[in-house]
Amino acid sequence: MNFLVLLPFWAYTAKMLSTMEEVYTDGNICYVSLNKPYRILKPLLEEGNLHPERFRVIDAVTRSVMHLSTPERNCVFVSSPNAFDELQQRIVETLAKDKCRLLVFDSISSLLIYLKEEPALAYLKKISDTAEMFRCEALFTVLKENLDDSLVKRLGLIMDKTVDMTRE
Amino acid sequence: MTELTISGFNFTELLRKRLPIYHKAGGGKITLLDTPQQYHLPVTLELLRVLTTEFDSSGVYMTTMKVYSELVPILDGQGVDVSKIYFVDVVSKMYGLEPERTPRCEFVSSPINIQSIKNAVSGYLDKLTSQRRFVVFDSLTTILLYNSLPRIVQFTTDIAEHLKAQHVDAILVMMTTAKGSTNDKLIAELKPILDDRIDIPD
Repeated sequence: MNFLVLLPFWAYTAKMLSTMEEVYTDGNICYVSLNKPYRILKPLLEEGNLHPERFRVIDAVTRSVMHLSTPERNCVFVSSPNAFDELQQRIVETLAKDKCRLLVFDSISSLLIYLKEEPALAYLKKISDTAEMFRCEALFTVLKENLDDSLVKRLGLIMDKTVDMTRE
Repeated sequence: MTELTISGFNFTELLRKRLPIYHKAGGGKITLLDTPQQYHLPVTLELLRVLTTEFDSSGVYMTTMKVYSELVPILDGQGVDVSKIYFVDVVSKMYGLEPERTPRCEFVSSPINIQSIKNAVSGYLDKLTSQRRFVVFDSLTTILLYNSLPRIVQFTTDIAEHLKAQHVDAILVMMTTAKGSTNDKLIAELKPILDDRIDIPD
């Protein structure tokens, strides 16, 4: 099962993460970040009622912006957000090794900076298929205001369900 | 002399032709530079090189691309005269770094904090002594990822008016994205304030 999750702009990551953890009470969560560095995510995971040890983060932004001197526990880094093959490889490795229940891809809005519409849709399908191969559900976030309705509809065609969190 | 050519398109030559026109017109021109993501780095480096070395301009460079400490050696290595640039680094603090204070760079807490970006840019304008002054926003596309469209339109419009009044040229770097994305909407919203647009072919 895969989900398209429409998000508003403001301060939604923490709420989204806690909702995910409430829904997926067991197993690990693989979090692919194309826009938030692990150093931003880490405090969000450590705050509130979250269990950071359940999250496996694939950080695709930090290494393109700065040199990394120390490795982080529960996080792997990809050289840049547009290193798509490398990102796919890290996803496969993480899902195979850590037996994740859920893959979170954050976000389609970021992906659309690096890929045009058609290849982006093809890439998302590939990620979705990869998750399915590992019997893992997939959740793809998108900033609702970032896309027009026709693109949201096209994305909806490759997803099983669309969840609009902007209405809450 | 080094020139940047992309898919047969001579970017350096284009800059050489267009930038002097702005200056003759009194400065204060707003240019949108739309580049495919894969050319973002070389295009930005060449833009800064031409501005600082060929046109003897000085200016402010807002960066979301690299942290200041890593950016300066890269610019230096590409022949950019970094002594003519003040930096507004929007990423270091977001990535949890605690950069050493320097008069050449203002470190803004995050791309969400657009008022601080505006203040930092404005604060440096008075320090620019060159006749030709510029501000490069690199990039609005990244800033847009962390802010709503109306906020960015307001931010860009306000700062463009301020720069025009001060006869400072502005180059708004954006990265080509999918049709129907906010990036496209932002470009459409900014049309009234733009004096020029440069599109780098894919």
